[in-house]
Amino acid sequence: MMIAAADERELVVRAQQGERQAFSDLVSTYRQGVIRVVYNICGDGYQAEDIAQEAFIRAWQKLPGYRPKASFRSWLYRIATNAALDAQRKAKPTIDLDTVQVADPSKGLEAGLVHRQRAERIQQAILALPAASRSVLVLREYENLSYQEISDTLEIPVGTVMSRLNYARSKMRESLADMLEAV
Amino acid sequence: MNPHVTNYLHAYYDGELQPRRQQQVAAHLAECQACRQALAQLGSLSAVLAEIPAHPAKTRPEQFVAQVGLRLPRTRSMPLWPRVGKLALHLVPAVLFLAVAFIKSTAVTNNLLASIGLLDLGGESVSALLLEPQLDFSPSLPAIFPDLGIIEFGDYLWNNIASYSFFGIDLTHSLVFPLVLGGLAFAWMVIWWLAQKNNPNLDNLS
Repeated sequence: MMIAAADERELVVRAQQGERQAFSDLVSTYRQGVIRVVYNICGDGYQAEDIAQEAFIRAWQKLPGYRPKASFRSWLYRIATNAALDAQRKAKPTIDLDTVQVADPSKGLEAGLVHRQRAERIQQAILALPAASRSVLVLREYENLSYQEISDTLEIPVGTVMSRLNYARSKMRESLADMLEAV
Repeated sequence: MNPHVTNYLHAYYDGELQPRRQQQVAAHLAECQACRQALAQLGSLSAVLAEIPAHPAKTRPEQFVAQVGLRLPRTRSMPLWPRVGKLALHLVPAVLFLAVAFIKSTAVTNNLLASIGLLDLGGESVSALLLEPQLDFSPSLPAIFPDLGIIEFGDYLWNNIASYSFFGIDLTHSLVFPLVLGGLAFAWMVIWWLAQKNNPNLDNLS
């Protein structure tokens, strides 16, 4: 669900003043994005929604201090990124096979298994990246954020975004070299 | 530009280059097989990364929103600096009250000791207390009055205020202190009112 920038600003102001319904509308708007960021950063399919909920609760608590220097989405994704990294630090990441891949029956059992194994390998390669580079890669590749938006989200210079993204991609190319050759 | 455009390739791929640079890289790519391959690898990597399926939702969207709503705390904590500001705002009246109490009690004690000294009731111990030299902790004011410290400067101002008396009461010196305190209290009320106006939920935040 997308909302106009002006409507979003109004919702943010109302939520800052304590209006819960306005905050619920913001949760509804950014639910999918926040879950995606959390899931791709921490790699825990089972916990992703709980961590996303935790991120929204943190956002509610920090909302009075939010100043619209950066977009609300960037601000929210920063909280989600930190919540995902915190959760990952506390618990050893595990791959939940049921959530990583839902086999497409039309592809057949074997094809589904291969697809699942590939997805698991990709996820493992992402999780093997240092947290700083992983966050940048996820925000760029899965959220399609611009360099400036990533810079605002992670509060790092654009130059650092570029260097971390280059590093993450080169590491991923090394880890997934055989898969890339087959593409 | 380098013989190859390696440094710009990621930004080119992500559409983050300025139009002029974008054209330069595109022109180079048209001629350079190695750079085209490197660019194609970035595309392949994105394609492989996209193979991770979307996270299958455990809860329906409206259920998720409701769960977040239920978990929201009734009151929310304020960030550090507004909290410090709010605390300071609460402390101002207490500080003013303590300042008045301290100054008044000091004056009363001084008068009491002076009276005891005049009546010679306390012997040498009270006299010694009255004659105790004061510590000089006052920094000097070199730019304005090189020979005066802050306390001496305050004394100088205090003693040189034009004095108006009424029935033997020194009105000026009696009014200065309450007026300064009243002004501070008024300023505090104005600041409090502005803070309330800017953030009506100030008191709802803990």
